[in-house]
Amino acid sequence: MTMRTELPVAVPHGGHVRDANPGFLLGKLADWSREKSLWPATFGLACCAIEMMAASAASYDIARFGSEVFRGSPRQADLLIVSGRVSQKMAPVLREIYDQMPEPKWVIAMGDCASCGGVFNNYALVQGVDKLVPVDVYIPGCPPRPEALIDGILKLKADIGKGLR
Amino acid sequence: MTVAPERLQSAFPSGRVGVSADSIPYVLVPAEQILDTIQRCRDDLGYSRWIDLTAVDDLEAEPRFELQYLLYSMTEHRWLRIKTQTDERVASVTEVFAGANWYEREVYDLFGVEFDGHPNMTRIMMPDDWQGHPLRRDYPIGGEPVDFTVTRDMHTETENQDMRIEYTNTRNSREQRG
Amino acid sequence: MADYPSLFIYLCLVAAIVAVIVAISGLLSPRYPSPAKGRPYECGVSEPETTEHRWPVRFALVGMLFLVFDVEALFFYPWAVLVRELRWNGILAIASFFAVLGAGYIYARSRGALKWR
Repeated sequence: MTMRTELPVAVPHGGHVRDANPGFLLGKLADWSREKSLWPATFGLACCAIEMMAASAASYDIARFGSEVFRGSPRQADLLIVSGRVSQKMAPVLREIYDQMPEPKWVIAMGDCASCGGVFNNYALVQGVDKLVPVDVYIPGCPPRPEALIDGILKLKADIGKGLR
Repeated sequence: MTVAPERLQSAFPSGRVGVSADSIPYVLVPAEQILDTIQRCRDDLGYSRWIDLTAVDDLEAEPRFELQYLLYSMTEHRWLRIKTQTDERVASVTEVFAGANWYEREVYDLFGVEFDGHPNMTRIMMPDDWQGHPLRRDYPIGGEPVDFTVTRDMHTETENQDMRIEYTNTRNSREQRG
Repeated sequence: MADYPSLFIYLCLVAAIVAVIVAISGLLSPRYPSPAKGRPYECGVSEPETTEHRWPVRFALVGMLFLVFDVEALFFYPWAVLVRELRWNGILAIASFFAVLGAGYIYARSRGALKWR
């Protein structure tokens, strides 16, 4: 498999790129509703996925922040939480899933491996998913605790609500 | 459980017999005989279960790669390791053990050793268009050059004097490997 | 039989609400068509692969047997609706229909067509 898409340069991303101008009030409504119901796509790759599952389970429940479901199809998701190591072979798959998400979309790089390659500086892994997709929030940790993931999601949601992302 | 090296030596007169560090006996055979050896292990000696195939790259050795096949006997509960050395290619044992298929693809992908007679000699771990064989000794370790170095110094007090030990901890990078 | 006007109003309201929701999200959403969005979702591996592989013929066998017995079950439905009017002649007819297909079922079972392995 080869990568068929270009690297993330001048890619429409997030909510702040709008072609239709809905006006102030409707724009505020859109920002508010996008912030309050941010649905992730399932992209758990490795150990960070365990912490992401814990964050969506009963104790740390991210459904109370609006992430009610992890959508199986990227076409129904807003947020791509890349949790885990991205191998060279997985890179085109990640890019394809990201491309199939409709705008507005956001990306969280969860964990050290997604942020920068983590402890694995070698031939097998992509050294940070920002080589493949534009990232909005980096969450360091190996793995980050569910509270750290929730902190990152909340920071992203705050920016979305203000119309900054 | 070990099997007596004399019995192994008599079974493989042209091979060198020994015991590995994990107490598993091994037989080192020439590369041309590997297919017959594996077949005899399965049919005559009762090592009917395929376990593993891996390779070791020794840059200075002639030949360079040492392939290690691991077999298991279900009836006697014993392991046996068959070693062979090659530079480039060796016969495939997929006709004898179908399970060797992916192991040989992995050795080809990561070391570059080709297996003659393999039904699908392609890369299995790296992307299909990857250049190079990553687990060779002359393949750089780091995926990315790392810019920083760390210098630590430690003071220790010996009987006579303060010894100041200073060492520099750097990550291997492509430039340093040369 | 009673309240068709209310049902009609309800259906109009449903259509109106759906139209409003779709219109608002259509107005507010950015539109960036890309080739990836046109491709079917295949878990990220959208490159078409050849489908000309060999697969066990048992799949076709089970499919054919299912078709036969499913259509048989389909024929039972109209008979079941009219069972009282068809009386004993009807039961005789359906019993002979069932016997023919039952013989086929016994034959298939005894030949091992329903064993997966």
